[in-house]
Amino acid sequence: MNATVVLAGNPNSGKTTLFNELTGGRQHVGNYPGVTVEKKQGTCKTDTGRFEIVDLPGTYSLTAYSLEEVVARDFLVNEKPSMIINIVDASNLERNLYLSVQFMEMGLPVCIALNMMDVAKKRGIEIDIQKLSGLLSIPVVPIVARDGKGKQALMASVAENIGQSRQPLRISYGRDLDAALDEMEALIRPAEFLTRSYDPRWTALKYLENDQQVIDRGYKQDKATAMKLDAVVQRVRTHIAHTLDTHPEGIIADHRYGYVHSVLKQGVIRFFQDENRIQVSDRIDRIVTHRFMGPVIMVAMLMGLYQFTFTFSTIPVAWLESFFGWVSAMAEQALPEGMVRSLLVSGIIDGMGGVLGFVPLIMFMFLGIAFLEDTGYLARMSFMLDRIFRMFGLHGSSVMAFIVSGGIAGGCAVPGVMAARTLKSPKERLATLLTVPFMNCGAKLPVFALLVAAFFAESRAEVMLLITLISWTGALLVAWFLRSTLIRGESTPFVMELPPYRLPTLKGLFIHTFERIIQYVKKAGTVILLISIILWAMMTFPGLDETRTKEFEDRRSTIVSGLSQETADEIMTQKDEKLTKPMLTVKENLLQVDRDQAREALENSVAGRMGAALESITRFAGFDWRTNIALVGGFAAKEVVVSTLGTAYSLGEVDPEETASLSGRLKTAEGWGPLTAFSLILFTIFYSPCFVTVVCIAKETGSWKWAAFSMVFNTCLALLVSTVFYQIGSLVLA
Amino acid sequence: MENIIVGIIVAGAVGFMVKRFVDIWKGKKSCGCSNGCSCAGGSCSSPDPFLKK
Amino acid sequence: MERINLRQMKIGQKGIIRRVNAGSELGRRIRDMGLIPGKEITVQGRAPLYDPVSLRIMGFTLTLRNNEADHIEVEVS
Repeated sequence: MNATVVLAGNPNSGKTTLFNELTGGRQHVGNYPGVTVEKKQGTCKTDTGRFEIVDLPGTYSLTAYSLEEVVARDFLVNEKPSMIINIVDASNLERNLYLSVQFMEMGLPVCIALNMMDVAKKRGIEIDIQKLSGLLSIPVVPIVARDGKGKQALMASVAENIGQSRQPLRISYGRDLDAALDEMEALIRPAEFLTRSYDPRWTALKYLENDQQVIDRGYKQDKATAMKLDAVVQRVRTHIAHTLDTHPEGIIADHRYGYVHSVLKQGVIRFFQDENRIQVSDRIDRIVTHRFMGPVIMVAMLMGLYQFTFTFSTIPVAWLESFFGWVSAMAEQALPEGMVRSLLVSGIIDGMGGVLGFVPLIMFMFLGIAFLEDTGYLARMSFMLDRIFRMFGLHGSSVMAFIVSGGIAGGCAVPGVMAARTLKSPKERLATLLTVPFMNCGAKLPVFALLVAAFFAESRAEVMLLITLISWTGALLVAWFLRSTLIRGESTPFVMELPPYRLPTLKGLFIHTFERIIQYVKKAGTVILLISIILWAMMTFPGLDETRTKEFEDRRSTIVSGLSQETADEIMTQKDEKLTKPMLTVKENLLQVDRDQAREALENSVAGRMGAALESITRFAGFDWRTNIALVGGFAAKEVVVSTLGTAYSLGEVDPEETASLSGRLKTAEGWGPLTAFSLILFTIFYSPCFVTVVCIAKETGSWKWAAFSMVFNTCLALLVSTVFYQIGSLVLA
Repeated sequence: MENIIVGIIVAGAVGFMVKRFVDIWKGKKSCGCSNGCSCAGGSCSSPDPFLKK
Repeated sequence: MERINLRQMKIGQKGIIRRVNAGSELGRRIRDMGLIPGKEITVQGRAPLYDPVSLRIMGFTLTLRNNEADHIEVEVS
């Protein structure tokens, strides 16, 4: 049997875990047509058949409150899957079944996968599966998603029940609403109003629920019928407001929960303990979200994460660095001197190597963040920070957008900008998406890692924590500035579930981390590689003209003029140890000429001139022309700052025996010190978002005005911050 | 000879880069981002990490 | 038995929801999450700045802000 099956359920019900269990590694990610909600798909092969499994976004309801709900609903209506596997958290049955009932009301084939039976048992909940299945007249299969128990039985049950026709579930919504539903159904059926997509009674129900998406669709399809339905809804609405002092949507939700409750009360569920008894999770929360302890623990958690990352990544990063050093030395020896060698060694290896060298660091960082994500701690961060965020004109959901963008480190501003969609108020949304680019995305991470390794090796975790705090403070202040000047407006509600703490599964952690590492490497191998090549060319051409080249040649001839051919060859080919003192001096002089020439060639190149032109502004922030090139390149992608510095200092490097890592080179380079490094860190935090993010901002806000604003405003801000820091720093240190 | 090789490589890189920019611009690649965001199939992760579960 | 606003409840206090005063989107969201009349809730804690509030209902934990809690009337003993 071949069939498409969707996986649906509440957030935090173990949906992703089950999806991973069912599909293993065989999954691919796309997105739902027209929107940027992720669509995961995978194949599950069992003895009963081959199933294409689509992972729907997790939702609590199908009322079109959030984008996820709309996406889930549209997919079910348009694609008409053969079966919905509705994953239901047994320890939280009532609220989970609220969603199942809505699938059944739509007349869709549902099979319940009852997850976390083990947790339920521990909490003293006993569930009569037979009875539940009988009362709802749909199959119910107990599973434990964490270890894959019951997945065979689940898929067998799915195979067995595919193709059986079923009637939409009818729930009574009280006399008033039932009468209205009947009346509306009588209008809908003959007019064939939206009947191609929805069951007539369901359409009527959505009209009563004031579901804007369905109402808009109806209005477009058949204005006359839509008006008639509107009239009925209006009448009922007024009537209910008068007699019961409430709204139809309230009554509908109450009755829906009432239906679920009545099913459960018929002996389906038995509690051996108070269901609201204090759980372990609540005890943890008492400490973790405590008035004083909460914030302290939050900072300690970040510090711990950075400490963990740096402690474990130092050695592998050093290995990779020496590996790339070895590769570049090999290439240097294998190839004759010239353009090709320079492109390969200085452009590609030293450019890309700088970025790839940080793979272990990125990996440990992601592992740590995936751990925090999977335990449920991030929801607590939103909970604790909502009030503060509101003071600055943002929203608890902005915390999520911030973290997606790299609030802890190592995210990406593009999904962060999109995450702002979960915000309902356009003003809060705008303020959020304009400030998320200040977070420390995975592309800025190698820049920080490089500078921290070179200049703050003693206190790496502390500096990383400081960087995080600066970017959050900056983002909040900018948000506040925007919200009190350009985008003023009210704040919107914040209702969120705090999922119980869970110990993440190793499999989940590895899938999470692995996916991200693959992307990091992929990006280094594609975009960063291309930009490295282009920037190398910009840093090489046009090179020096003939007269200058000749002058350098002349200087060399003068140095070696008094020597015999043999001695000259010896100086060039022999190792330093074998040379005599006067010979060493000659060699050093020759190298100095090479250095001067390389430096002048670099300064004369397209990029060099550009960088030098910018120096008149940036030197107050402590940046020389090389850094300027790197920063301009960083607009394409922030990792380029590292790769460009790699290329720039590699082009200036002439001694083939010296293959120091980039951080080693920076340490000894002229004009560099902790002050410059930190000034560059500040600039990197705040300056213009990368190209892709800018495009994304333009699309999300629907205007290029805001995209241009974020480029100009952020860059000016960054320049201001760095300059002030550098100037004050120089004064203090002087 | 050498200049020709380098020329081809650089021209190729510029070409690919321009194509990429145009793609992003036109929205064919909805996302050129890297980290914490899956781009396989040209899309981004679900915006809300909680809704991914 | 007295009726108070959810905002006025103390940490650890129990009560039964009697009325949800919000309509439209907020009302729907609040109800979708299970905050409907007749359900028992326990106030679990508050964020460090006293807002939002977290509460326990039907065996799970939910957070909402004080000004959303204002829409909910609770009967406490």
